[in-house]
Formats: sequence, structure tokens, C-alpha cells
Amino acid sequence: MAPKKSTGMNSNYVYDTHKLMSDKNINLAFSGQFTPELITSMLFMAKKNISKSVTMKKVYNIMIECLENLTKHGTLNDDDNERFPAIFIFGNDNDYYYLATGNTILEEQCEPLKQKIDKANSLDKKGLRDWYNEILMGDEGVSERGGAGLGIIDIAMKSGNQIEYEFKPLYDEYVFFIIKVKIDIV
Amino acid sequence: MNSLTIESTETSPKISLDPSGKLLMEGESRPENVVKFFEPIMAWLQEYQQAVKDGSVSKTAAFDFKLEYFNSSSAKFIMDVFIELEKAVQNGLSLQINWYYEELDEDLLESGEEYQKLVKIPFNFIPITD
Repeated sequence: MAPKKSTGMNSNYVYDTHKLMSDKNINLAFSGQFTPELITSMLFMAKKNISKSVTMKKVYNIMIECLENLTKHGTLNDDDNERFPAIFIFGNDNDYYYLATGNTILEEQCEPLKQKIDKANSLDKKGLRDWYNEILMGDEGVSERGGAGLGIIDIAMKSGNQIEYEFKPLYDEYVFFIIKVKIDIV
Repeated sequence: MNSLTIESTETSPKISLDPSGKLLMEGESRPENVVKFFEPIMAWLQEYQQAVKDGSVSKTAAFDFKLEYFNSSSAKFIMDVFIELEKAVQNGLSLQINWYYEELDEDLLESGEEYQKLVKIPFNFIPITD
């Protein structure tokens, strides 16, 4: 069973959230249910606010792939068969932008994900490209959820940086999976 | 044979495939159901290869790819489109691929260059400036 949510209300959290977002230079964040319609709206918003630059074009491209991962691989909650809420954050630090997502997955999904990201992190650009092309030319096909297995490789190739990730055990067989992708500001 | 036209949506590109040899894919490609979206395109291309072989359509064609963005599952299907086009070329089609990319989008240019390496069809790379 999922732990009960606290319903206690006080207004400090509004300021705390505001301060946290401001301190961490968070430009755009959403926490909740990710639907294809929401993603379209977020991309529309991002597109409007994106200045024309090589970096921002890259951010946009990677952002789509990150958001799609949330809808394609979102786990359904056994209790109510609803998708678990997830989080998306777009922020910046001194010399890079970052895109981060967090979503609930099943324990059994962790190891394959870990292996894929570790492999992506171990390869240079050419290695990633060769791996990508191998899948592109292969007969694997596309999964029911529309995944071709290229997403992580594509993100690694475009970002040019190591992908950071973490698995936080929640309860029962559920794990919170966090991924952070950096894009150098050029 | 008939032409195939699919209007663009927020998540899928415009498709215009004409047996006269005017071929186009334009816009963003991240359809919710990528398999279903590409199905009629693949079927059309298979019929087209045969028509090229039979000599019932023009032996020259140009395919304009004016994609702003495509997700990684579309990438797989775009590869399949090229594989089908390669068969049409083997059947005698003289085909020019025009790969448009926004000047600042080096990732999109790179994707096109990779496709060119994987299929034996000449590509024109055309930057769009605005």
C-alpha cells in the first residue's frame, strides 16, 4: 500500500517552493500526471521562450525525449491503476542547462536501465553513434509503448555529458528513478 | 497509383507522396502511435517500388525532408523509409534526397549525415536560415 499523504496545510511551503526554485535557478518545473497533451503544452511554452541558439535547440530536442520517457515508461499504481505522478525540471547552473526527471518505476526495471545508462556513459560520441546505428538498422522493431530503445543513447549523444541517475526505493516493489542531463552552454 | 497525403498535427509531420516523384515529409514527428502513423507510408512506398519497376511511374523523384524534430522512435521508422527508398532506387529510380535543417540545429544535420552513410542514396543538405 502507498503511504497516506499528509493533508496538513500551512502556507510556508509556497514560499519554500518559490525560494527553492529561485535558489536552484529552476526555469520550468512540473510535478504531477504527465499526459501527451501536457507535454505538447510544455513544449509549446519552451519553444516560445527558447532563444535561437545551438544550445537551446539542443535543450528542446532532449526535453522532448525526457518528457516522452515519462509518459511511455510511467508505471501504473496497483491501488487505483492511475499513473504515478512524476516530476520534470529545467534549470541552469553557471555553465550548463540541465533537464531532470523523476518517476516511479518497478524494481525489476532498475537493472536494465542502469546497464543502459552505464554503457552510454562509458562510450564516446563515435561509440554512441555506432550503438545507435546498430539499433536503427536492427530488426528489433518498436515496442508497444513506442520505444525503440534509442532514447537514452539519443540523449547521451545530444548532451555530450555523463547522464546522472539515482534510484530511490519507495515502498514494496516501487522505486523512484531520477535522471539528470546536462547541456553545456556554448 | 494514388498519391498519399496526411496533414500535419502538433505531433506528426505532413506527408505528401505523389507518384509523379514529388515526395515530402515536413514538421515534427513524435506521434503517439508511431507504428500506426508510419503504416500507410510504408505501404505506399512498397507499392511505389513496384510501380517504378513496372515503369508505370516517372523514373526520377525528389524527396524533401523538412523535419524540425523527430523523436527516437520516429528515427527508427525514418530509417525504414530510407530502406524502402533504396529498394526503389535499385528498381531504377533516380532519387534525390533533400535534407533541410535549421542552421542552428547541428543534431538534425548530423542525423541526416548518418542516414546518408547508412543508405546508398545521395543527400543534399540544405540549411534553413531565418
